[in-house]
Amino acid sequence: MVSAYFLTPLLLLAGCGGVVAVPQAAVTLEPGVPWEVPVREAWPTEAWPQATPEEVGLDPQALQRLVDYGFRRDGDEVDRKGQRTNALLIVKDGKLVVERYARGYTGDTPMLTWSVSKSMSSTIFGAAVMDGLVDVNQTACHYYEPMCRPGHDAVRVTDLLRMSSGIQWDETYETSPIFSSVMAMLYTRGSHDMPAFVARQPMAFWPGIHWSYSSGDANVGMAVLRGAIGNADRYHAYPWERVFDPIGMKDVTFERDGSGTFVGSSYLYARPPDLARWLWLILNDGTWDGRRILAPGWVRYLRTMAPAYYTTPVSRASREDNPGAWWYVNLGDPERDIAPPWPDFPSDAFGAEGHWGKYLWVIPSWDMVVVRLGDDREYGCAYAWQTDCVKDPNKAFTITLFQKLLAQAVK
Amino acid sequence: MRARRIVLLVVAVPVIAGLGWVGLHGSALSTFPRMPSAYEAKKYCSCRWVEGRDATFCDHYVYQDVVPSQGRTVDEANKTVTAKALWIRTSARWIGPREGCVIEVPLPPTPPPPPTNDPTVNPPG
Repeated sequence: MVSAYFLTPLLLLAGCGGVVAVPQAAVTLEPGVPWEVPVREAWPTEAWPQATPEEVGLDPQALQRLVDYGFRRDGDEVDRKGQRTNALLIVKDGKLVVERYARGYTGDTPMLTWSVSKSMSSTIFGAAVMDGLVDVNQTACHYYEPMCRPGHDAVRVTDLLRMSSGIQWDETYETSPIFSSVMAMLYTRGSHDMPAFVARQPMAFWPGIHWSYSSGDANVGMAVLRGAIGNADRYHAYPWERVFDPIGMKDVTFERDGSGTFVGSSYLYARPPDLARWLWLILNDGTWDGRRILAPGWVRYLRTMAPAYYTTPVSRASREDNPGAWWYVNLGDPERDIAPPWPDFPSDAFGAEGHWGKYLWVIPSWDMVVVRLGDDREYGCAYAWQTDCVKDPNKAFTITLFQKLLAQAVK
Repeated sequence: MRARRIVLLVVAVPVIAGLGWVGLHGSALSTFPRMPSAYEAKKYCSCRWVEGRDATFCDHYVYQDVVPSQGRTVDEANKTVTAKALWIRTSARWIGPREGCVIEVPLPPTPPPPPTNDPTVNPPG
């Protein structure tokens, strides 16, 4: 297969901003996943089979401690303090063991997932690659004309999926709205046409060498998908036809910008049991009840660390972000003495995370998927670098404590 | 003379620096005033008509204490909400079950007409 470097001329000054060209390795999708996918007797397309914790080998007392922790409330709707869990689902060995809701939400509510949407967008790309519509080694410009500018025209689809486009971006939210690129994209300058807004930003780095969390990259990706599919009606139906419907996801809303492009960075709404179905699809290597939904090798690709991560200086705030392809992985970087971010999870765990307490995990060595949706407005201190967090981990949702409690139920 | 020069420095340098800063960040600054109303309208719309929550719940959900809201009007029949903040009104509208809500933005400026070779319009030279 193609594993040679692109013959991009070295030290070629790009036309825009004096960004230095660097050759990039082409992506090869290698079929299979690095864990054994069990043969499934039943698929939860219609309903999730249920089981008691004991039936799937979980410690019921420890699991109860986890649930009590997740749903502990210290604040009310006005002060918005403490854990604000809306939904918690745990599936092990294909059976639903925990399903609980709060704050007026139910299993029938399509819930906003924020940046978890990116991981779904990556999944939809996996279908488009399966269908031969998109090649991740192709340039974004090939599918989306506004990226055909000097500098931007070197960005490949895989650079977008790995948030390594090099397009200048400021991903801050409510705390610093004036100069935030993402706030401008979602609410003002970009809301009419988000990918076009992103494509207008200057290049800051040569594509593929600098990882920087960017909702902009995700939305350019959705324009690439639109260009690859071509027909607008087909594009708008595509996620339903290829991913949501085949696995039984109902009542999904996927909001669009003012020009009809999916807001792949932020605006997917789905029922929590359906989100668990999606994670189940991923755990099963992109296959569902005998049918292959995602391209062979796509699941391996989405949970492979973005190469640019290894060449990007890690800041305190990004130290725990291990980027796959719009997913998070749990590998760390031993060369730089960076420990895996989820110490109580197996190293094969990976997940999707979103603003204000959305955490979804696939944990192959436990044969488990977890959906935790919250609306946290404060977080417990999970990592040493964190400031502006709640010191007592019991008084706010603390990701590492939640993971520790789950691990105690498994062991 | 010397005092005048110092006063000039003390006054002019920050003013010039400030103008330069505004020039650099002009588009971010000029479009920011729309953000609070757009933020509130979009989030309220999706809370009510995508997630299907009630008005009280969504009031708490969209509340932010950075820029005060100047109120909002909700058109239940058309599933449209208009929020006002920083004296700007922005609407968001529910389109459909798959599409959810979208911010209604003023249409972008009309692009200039394409160049023409007609010499009476574009004199050569």
